[in-house]
Amino acid sequence: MDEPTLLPEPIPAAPVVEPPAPPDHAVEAATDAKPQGEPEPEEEPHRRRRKLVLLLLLILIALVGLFGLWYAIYRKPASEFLPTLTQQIPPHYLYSIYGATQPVGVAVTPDGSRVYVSESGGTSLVKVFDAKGAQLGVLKPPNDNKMHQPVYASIDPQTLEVYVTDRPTGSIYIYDASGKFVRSYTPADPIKNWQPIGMAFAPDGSLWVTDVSDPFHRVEQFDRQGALLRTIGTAGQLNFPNGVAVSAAGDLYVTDSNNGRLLVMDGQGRPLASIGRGTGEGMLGLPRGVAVDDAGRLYVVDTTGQTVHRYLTRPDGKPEPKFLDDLGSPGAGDGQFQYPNDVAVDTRGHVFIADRENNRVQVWGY
Amino acid sequence: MRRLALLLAGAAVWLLLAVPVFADNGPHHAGAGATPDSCAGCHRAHTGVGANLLNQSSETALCTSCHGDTSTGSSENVMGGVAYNGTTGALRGGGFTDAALDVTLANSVSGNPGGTAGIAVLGTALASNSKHLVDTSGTLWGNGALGTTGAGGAVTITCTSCHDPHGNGNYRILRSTPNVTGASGIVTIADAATHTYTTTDYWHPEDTNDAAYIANVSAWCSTCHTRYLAASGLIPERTTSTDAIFTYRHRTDGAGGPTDNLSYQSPQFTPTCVQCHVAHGSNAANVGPNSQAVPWPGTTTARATDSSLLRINDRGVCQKCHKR
Repeated sequence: MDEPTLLPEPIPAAPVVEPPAPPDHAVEAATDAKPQGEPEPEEEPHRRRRKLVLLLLLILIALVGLFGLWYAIYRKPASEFLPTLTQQIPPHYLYSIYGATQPVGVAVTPDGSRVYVSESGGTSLVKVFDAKGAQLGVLKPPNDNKMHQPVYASIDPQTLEVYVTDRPTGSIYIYDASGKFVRSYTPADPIKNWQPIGMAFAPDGSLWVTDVSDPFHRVEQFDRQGALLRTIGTAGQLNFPNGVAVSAAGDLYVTDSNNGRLLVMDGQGRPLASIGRGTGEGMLGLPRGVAVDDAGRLYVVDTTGQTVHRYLTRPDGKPEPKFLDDLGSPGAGDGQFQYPNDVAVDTRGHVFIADRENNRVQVWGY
Repeated sequence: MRRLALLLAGAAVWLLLAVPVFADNGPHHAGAGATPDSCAGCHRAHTGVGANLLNQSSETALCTSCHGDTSTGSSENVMGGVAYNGTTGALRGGGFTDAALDVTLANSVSGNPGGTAGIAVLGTALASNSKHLVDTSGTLWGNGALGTTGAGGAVTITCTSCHDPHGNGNYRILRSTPNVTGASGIVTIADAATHTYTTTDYWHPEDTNDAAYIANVSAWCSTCHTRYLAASGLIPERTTSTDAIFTYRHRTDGAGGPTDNLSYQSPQFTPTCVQCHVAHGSNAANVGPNSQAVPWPGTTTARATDSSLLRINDRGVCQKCHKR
């Protein structure tokens, strides 16, 4: 007899639990709910977020575009934004500008678009080149006096006029940006047998000039009208002062050439420090041209040392420049020098060096 | 306190700026000029690039760094032939590329020998038509003893063949014996207290600006140009030297008046080399056919436009004294 099939016992039914009553405000929301077809309530914050992201993206694109435009115009090396890094990375040779015979002086406009080179051989004129080295013309003195001999050129940052010293005639000739002679710069009180050599514009627009005329060599500061403001040096102190440069901080750097030293002075001409002659690192032989770029790097040409010394100005706030490195070596190859004589810098981190016996201007950059 | 600060500031100025400078503003003074660190301006003890431990290969380029066409390190531009000290003027020795000598006879003969007038200079330099060759092989005219075959051997000179860059107490830092192969003899020309490197009142036959220089310069030049030196006492214009090329010669020793007045304007005439010739280069020109036809010694080759370092166009120097 078969056992009867046992059916499972029925599962007891779950107790019914009543949901809690909604709070009052939920009841209100439910009451105010929008009709069908309207956006869901959660999409509004998303849309706002999307707009914000889009706006930020547009701003970023605009910034990148502006930076690209700025870079295309000024081509400032990225290392300029990392000054500490720049100090450790020396500049390197880029290219050379040919066409000037035994160049002794070089000047460049802030944007680097015009390079002015005074040649001691050949035509004894200042030749004008574009940034790539194509010759654009010459700066002609105001008369046919064959005694003309340009030494150094300097750009007035306020007007972009080009100042050229002419030692044999005791003159500073001024040309406009197109290369046309404009006028002569003359001391308001004439200086007998004035022999200007180097020039530099101070932040206040005044002009510093090295002068090797009798009775003693000196550095003079003139205002824009030619009034003598200050004289540095007395008998027996300076010996053929040559190059002069002014930093953005207003410090004055003068190569006291035949004394083989660099003098550092404040904006009033008060001595702060000096670097002397010798063969140690950063020491000088026959210093000539000098320049300071907008990153505070100081370049001093050592003619007989066949190099350009690079220093950092105001290291840790101290006036004595800190030696960084030397540019180049003796020779005729790329990046080598034979009697360099002058240096100029633009705002793009380019360094222009008059390489006299190699008949070229070398361009270095970071 | 303020006084102390001023004193300290003054001391700083003195310390930073006060450096003894040389009387001629150059590094060429013997003794005084050789400061312990000045050697490094031109030499390297173990890493020299050029001969004599120079820190550069070109000796001439080293010199012209200061004495070249811009000459920002000196007052003498030996390439352009001008000086900048005091009033810009022509260098007495002319220049290797240009010179500013007034080379016209009418302007240059402004007085009789024995007079006081000098020779004018130009306000602008002109290209040199003759020069001592530097860094290039040339003929050392008249080198060798009388009777030597040929007009002179080949030689290459540099600035330091004639000048001692370290200074030696001689006038114009001239070497007592030019540093050129074959040169012999020692000539001391004591430095003058006052330097006069421009032509004003210089070419005068009786120049007294630098008496020691005038008295000895012919002996100095002829340490190389040996056979050009002719003593006045021998009347060399009429006495054969027996040399095949330099047979009859103009007196050049500057030793005093002639023993035979050969139509000189003045008996005080004391000719020297530098009275007619410059040392570096001259802008004088050979204009006339007779001057252009003068051959180089021992050859039949005309000099054409080479003005033989003369101070006046053509042979105008002759008429400075022989006024006919």
